[in-house]
Amino acid sequence: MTQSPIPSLQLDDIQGIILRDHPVPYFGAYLLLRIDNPVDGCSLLRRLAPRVASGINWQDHTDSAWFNVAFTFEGLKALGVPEASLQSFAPEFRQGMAARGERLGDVGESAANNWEKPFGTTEVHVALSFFSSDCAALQPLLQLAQRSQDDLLGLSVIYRVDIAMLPTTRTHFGYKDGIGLPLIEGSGSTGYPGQGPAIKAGEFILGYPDETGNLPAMPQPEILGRNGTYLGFRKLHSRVAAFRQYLQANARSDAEQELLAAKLVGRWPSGAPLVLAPERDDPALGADAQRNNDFLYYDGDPHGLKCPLGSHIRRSNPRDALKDQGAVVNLHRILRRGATYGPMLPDGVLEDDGVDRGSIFVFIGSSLSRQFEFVKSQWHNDGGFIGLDQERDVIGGANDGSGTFTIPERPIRRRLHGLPRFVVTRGGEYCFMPGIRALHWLANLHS
Amino acid sequence: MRDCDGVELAGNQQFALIANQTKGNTMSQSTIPPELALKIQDSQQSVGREPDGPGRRIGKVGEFTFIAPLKAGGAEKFRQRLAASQAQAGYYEGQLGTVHDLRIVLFDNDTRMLFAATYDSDFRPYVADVIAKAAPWLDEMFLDVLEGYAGANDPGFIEWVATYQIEADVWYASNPDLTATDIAKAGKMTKAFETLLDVASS
Repeated sequence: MTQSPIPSLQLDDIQGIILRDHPVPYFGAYLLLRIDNPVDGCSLLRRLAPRVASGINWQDHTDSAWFNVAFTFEGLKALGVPEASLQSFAPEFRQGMAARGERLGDVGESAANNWEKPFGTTEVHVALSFFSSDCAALQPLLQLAQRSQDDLLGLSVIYRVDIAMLPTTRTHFGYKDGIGLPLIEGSGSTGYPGQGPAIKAGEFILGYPDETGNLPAMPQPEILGRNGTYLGFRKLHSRVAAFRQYLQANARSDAEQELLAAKLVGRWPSGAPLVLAPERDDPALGADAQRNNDFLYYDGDPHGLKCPLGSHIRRSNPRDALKDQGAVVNLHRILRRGATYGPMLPDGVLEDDGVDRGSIFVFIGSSLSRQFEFVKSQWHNDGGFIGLDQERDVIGGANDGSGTFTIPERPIRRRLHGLPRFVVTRGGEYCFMPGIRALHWLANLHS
Repeated sequence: MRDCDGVELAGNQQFALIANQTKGNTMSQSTIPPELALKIQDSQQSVGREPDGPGRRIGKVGEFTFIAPLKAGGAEKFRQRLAASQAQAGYYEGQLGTVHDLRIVLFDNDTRMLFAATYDSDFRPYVADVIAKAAPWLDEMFLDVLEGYAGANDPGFIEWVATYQIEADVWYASNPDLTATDIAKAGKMTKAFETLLDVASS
């Protein structure tokens, strides 16, 4: 673990979504494609590769709409990637997300056999993400993919989910999202207070040293692996009415409900963190990127009296809370892209309307097992690391109506019971997102 | 949380054998009274296995057993550093906080090493953390001692460990539903409660 110079990232070869967050407001879609004929698959890639978004100027790019491309293991097989290369991919990626259900908490109603088709089948091959700040600018890009299936007969668009920012700008549960993303070393961003220190680029992009000081294991040949990364794509249905009912049943007033909701998540709806605003929401703080992430746990809130040990944001990223004992947090950081789908459940409605709504969650990182699966299995679906081994994360855990949530208070802690599942996995796929040169390499596999 | 996967083990089979014997089965060579057979049955632990790689698990607790060959002269080097290795064990193992116990034994005329531990949670997910926290201690003990050990930070370390990791045949865990942290906390709580009773009764 010697100190070496910070490698500069090859931004022109890294797909844009790895560095760029979605615009505000955002419109977009995720498309899943099946390749029945590898030659047609490559033809599609020849159309897409020159136009796919890169990481160049990712902080202030001017394009109003862009897309990115990733492949499942089945997709790489369907394209005709050579066997030796296929075997060089990470084992959990080769197995696919559906096979990793036990580790991810995708059990019971979230189990893969209950997923929407085509998720979890061998038919999902290519995943395309589209983002835009402008709904109209999105259409030509979407048509590029949609129309390809008309003249490339060995290619089908088999799934589409549209995403859009809600009028509230928040998640369906009512929280501001997308705060607290890791700062990537060498990305050119100086970050904002509380975001750093920068995480080694190899944690998120293959071909650079990671937090262990080594190069992360990279698929071969090198042109295919370099500047690529792994993705975990999930369609997560939000049970908004159940969430509101639970808050109502466990609080005596509106103010108490709001505090309880904040205790479960670790932030107020505005994004203001409980560590900095323990008693009431502070919208000015929530809106201020210079302040809303600038906090730690070890000195200021070691026992979780402000932000419960089991709250969603504290479980997902314990920051410095484990520095005396436990996991090394920087080995398990999550780079994520979240977006909402479906219409809002109107304010105040407590009955489920049967409409599908939720978020499309995308994990991005160089190790599905050490990052995404670790956070899901050890921090979301186990509480041993915080001395609460019967508890699971309220948002990301596999609750089944029997769980508890502990709110540290003095002199006596409060404990909620009967936690239902508020988020149901409706489907998901592990993908590999190659670098842009690798896309061209794949496009020419059969020529 | 995480249930055992119900793999039937030698221990359970042994019990079945004992149960048969107590029924007056012809295989009987010892006589276990029925009351004892019942007690044995009540104390039986359900043993499963780790989700990734070898290793038994009872409740939340897992076992790690590893037997690797020593290099020529490795035992000597190991013993030279022994006092320091022992002195540092508490610090490095405590860093992770998930290890209940650990033993290292040289055997077979100093040609092989046994490394056995009981720990909380899963093994595989925490390998990177173990390396990040305990590499200096592991390197001090094992470099030039174990065949093929190139350092805990070596990219091939995990694969090297897997080569020599084996599974326990019989295993017992005293508190399979308590983590090392839970047990430490329970000890503190008991002490505090006794103090409270002392104050209340004086």
